[in-house]
Amino acid sequence: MLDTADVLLLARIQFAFTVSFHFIFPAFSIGLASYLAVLEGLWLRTGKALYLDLFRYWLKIFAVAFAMGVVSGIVMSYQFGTNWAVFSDRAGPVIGPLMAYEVLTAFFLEAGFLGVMLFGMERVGRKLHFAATCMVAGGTFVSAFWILSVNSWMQTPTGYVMGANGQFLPGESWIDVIFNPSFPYRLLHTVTAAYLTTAFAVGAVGAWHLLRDRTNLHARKMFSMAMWMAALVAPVQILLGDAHGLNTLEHQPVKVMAMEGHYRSHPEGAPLILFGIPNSKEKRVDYALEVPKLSSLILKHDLDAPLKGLDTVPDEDEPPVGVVFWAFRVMVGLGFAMLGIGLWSLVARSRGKLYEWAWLHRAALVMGPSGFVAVIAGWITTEVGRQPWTIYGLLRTADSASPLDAPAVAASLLAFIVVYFAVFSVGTWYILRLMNKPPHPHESGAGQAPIRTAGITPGPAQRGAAPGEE
Amino acid sequence: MKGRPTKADSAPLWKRLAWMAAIWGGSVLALGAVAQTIRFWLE
Repeated sequence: MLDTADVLLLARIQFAFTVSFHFIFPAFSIGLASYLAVLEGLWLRTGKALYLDLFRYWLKIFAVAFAMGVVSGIVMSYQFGTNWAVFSDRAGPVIGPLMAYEVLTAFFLEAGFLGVMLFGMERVGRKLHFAATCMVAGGTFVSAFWILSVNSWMQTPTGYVMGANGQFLPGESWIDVIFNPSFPYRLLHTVTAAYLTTAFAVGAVGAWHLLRDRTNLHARKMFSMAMWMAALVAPVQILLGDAHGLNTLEHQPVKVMAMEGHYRSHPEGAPLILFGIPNSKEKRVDYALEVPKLSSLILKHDLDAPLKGLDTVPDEDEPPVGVVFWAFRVMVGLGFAMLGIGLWSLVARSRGKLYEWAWLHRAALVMGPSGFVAVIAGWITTEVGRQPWTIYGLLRTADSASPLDAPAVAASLLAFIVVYFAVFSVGTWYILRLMNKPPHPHESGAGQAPIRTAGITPGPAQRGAAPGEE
Repeated sequence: MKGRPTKADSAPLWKRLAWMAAIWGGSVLALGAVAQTIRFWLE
């Protein structure tokens, strides 16, 4: 028979599965919405049809990704009530309004104006259509703002008072709730990650088509724009990640101990463990490859600064170290690989070989999914790292779950796995199919039949080429 | 603004705004229907 611990584990697996599936799509659509706004703005400003073609090409992909993100997001919000009813009851007065704003944003800004983006160009005109695109791009950011505020409050709760019935109630100011200590760092780090994820997905599609046809102007443009993003934003993201890490050290030091694999305290400077196998049973990292004192330098900016380890934390308050340790390294490793691609593209661009170096295109193609993997690894780091708490230091995960029978949770988990793999596999396959088609002049919009001009080879003007771009 | 004008650009503003409101409303309703369907399924 399954006991209470199994029910809790099943509920956690279900949440981890559905939220991981869900976040893949917002990680893409947040950046893609802004990319679409940039493309449409460039089209309106320059008049080059190439930008409109690219806008239409990516709009179809955005629509599918957005639909899957919204549908999987709705499941997430319902799951708070089904599997985490105790948490919802205790924290509802604080996080409920913030989550409501997120849902309202998703409905009235993102979904509403997405319809105008998809079907409105021939109905509302260029200016209103561009306004709708900007509303969707802004809406994705506002939506991220609210949901990340909720998550950050769960990590670093402030601005609340405890009710007599054990509920968390809003305190004197909502500002203290919304702008809790980790929120600004998490918001910037996550939204920048979404922009980078999109840049590498766009870059991979551009690289794929450049490998097949180096003269494709549309592929050149999207690859060039993506590589600018990689070169400029990847270093910014690394700095933001560092700032977020220092904030975590201040407010959730146990999470950083797990990330660093520091089972024991280091009073005279802690090493940076690059790789190793965390052994929680023996409280050590086996086969550790480490750089002496570097962790103290990174975290405290002092080689000899003391850092506490997990030996100062009761076992029942310790997160699963192995998962956090490795997820963190995957995220950081991919971040530096992104920086490498960005720098490589700068070298290629400076030598006029951005569209010529096939190995750069192959590397960009391989790195296409890297953003998705990095954001999931980042979320695993921060979510597993704050265990065993749902509201850090105040409400344990074990005390947050609904009083459900294990078979009920197991059955719904199984249903989610089957339905998600069926629905989202089809959606992802369709997105990859759209990406596999090369972007071309006179790209058809959503709900439009493609314009076919049989027997006519488009000249530079029809292909959207700028003077001198041929 | 240099982007190629669409047919709608020459239409009166009230008509374009009406289309915008109609498409926006239809999109919100469509998502509402999806949300309700998922809610019934989960219940």
